[in-house]
Amino acid sequence: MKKIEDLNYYELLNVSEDATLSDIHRAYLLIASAYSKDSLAAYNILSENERVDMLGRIETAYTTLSDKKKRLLYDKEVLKIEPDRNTSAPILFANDIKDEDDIKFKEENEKSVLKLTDLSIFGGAQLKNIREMKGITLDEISKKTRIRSSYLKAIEEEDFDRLPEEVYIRGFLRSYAGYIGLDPEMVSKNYKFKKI
Amino acid sequence: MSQIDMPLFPLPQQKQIWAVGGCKGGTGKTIVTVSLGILLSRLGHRVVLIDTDLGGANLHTCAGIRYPAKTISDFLLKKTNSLEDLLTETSIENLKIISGANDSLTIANLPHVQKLKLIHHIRRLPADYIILDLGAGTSFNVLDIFLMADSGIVVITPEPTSVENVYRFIKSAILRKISNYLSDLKYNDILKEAVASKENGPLKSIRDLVEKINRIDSSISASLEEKISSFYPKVIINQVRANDNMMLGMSIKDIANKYLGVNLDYVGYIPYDETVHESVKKFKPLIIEYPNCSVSLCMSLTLKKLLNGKEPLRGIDAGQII
Repeated sequence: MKKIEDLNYYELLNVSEDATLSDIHRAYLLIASAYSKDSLAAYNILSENERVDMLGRIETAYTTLSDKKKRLLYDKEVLKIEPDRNTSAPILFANDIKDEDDIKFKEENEKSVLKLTDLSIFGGAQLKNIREMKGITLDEISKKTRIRSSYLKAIEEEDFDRLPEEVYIRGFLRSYAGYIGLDPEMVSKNYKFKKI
Repeated sequence: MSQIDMPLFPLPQQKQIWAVGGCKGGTGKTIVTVSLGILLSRLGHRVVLIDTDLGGANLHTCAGIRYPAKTISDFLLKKTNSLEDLLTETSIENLKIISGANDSLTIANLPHVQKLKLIHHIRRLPADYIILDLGAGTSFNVLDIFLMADSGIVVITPEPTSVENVYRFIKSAILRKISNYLSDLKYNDILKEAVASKENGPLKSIRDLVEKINRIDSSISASLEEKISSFYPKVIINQVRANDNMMLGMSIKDIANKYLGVNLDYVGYIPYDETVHESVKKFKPLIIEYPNCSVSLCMSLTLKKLLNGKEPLRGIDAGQII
């Protein structure tokens, strides 16, 4: 039973030490949602200071583990883990990814704690949480990506009546996700395209 | 039995007791209890559902029985010495219930000895699965019945009141478990001393409590931690609507783990659906009346997850399931 301050970056994100980059992206989305400003799960159990402190820890963990060099250094210097490229579940970074099948194959061999299941599909609320956590406005994304603010807002609100066909939404999602520092393909692939 | 009728899951080698609770009233504990019971009975298991919410008993209604002739209070008031006498057949094969209906008695008022007797008799009922529908609140009797089960299932709705109550319920249950354990070891004073101790600040989590107990007497810390890690409640999010956060269950699991030191198993969500209301009004079990509605389908998925939990169900080799 560890204290918060004793949790390593993998434990903070609830992933195993051989988690792939896509595992880390997904875990970040899930965990950041739990500690976001409007989180129902954190209601009346965490103080505002505890919530903000945890978000800071999660951000640091994600920034480190989603960067190949920083992660290798962290593994070696802090966790004293030597990289082993010959394991059955090798570490996978964005620039190592060849194609979708490659990702799928690697993921099937993973044993990380968090897997994308029917319980963990995510939607606009989680994207909004992360955007707000990073202090990015919709207007800012709109200017940089040239996507109408009203479309970005509709994506966050999952208001599909105000959005064009799915193929266009996926394009918007990629641009939006890339701007707020998430894996565009992962977000486009896992976004909840319909109401329950 | 034809091949197509063969149960999807092997019959359990040992009786399983599940308790469905969750502190707050109105979260759908009874609907979940009845639905899981019907689904298990359809898999070929002998199932008994028991309404332990005597103050607000309504399991019989959700199971399609308007006027139960026998209730659990017949046992508590010593009109019968056997719970088995109170088993009431339902219209569903393999499914029986023990009603808690038509009585002002509340289980929260049960004397300790009577509670132990009830638990003893529940364990002896002839069934493969016994599912207990608990009342609201965190009284010792509710908590003790929750803790005696092989699997404790907590039902939450995505509302602030329900979420804050569930943390309260989980904290109360684990504290009760620790208290019972220390009491069995004749170490009652340690808990009182640890709770009263102001050293290193107030108690916020189970982790803090274990640390304080460890400082007082380190000889029991290993067994205490083992006891705590065996507390592994399952969580179901019920009445999820279109705009609710689909990841609430995962978020609660993470916060409970990091801040309370309690492992939860999030086993699924059930959507909000008017068919639940309709089935209750018709005195028909939901799973029977609307077998293809979103609630029935999600109940099936949730049961599948319950039977395939990472933690092996006591008495069952996890490898034998599916």
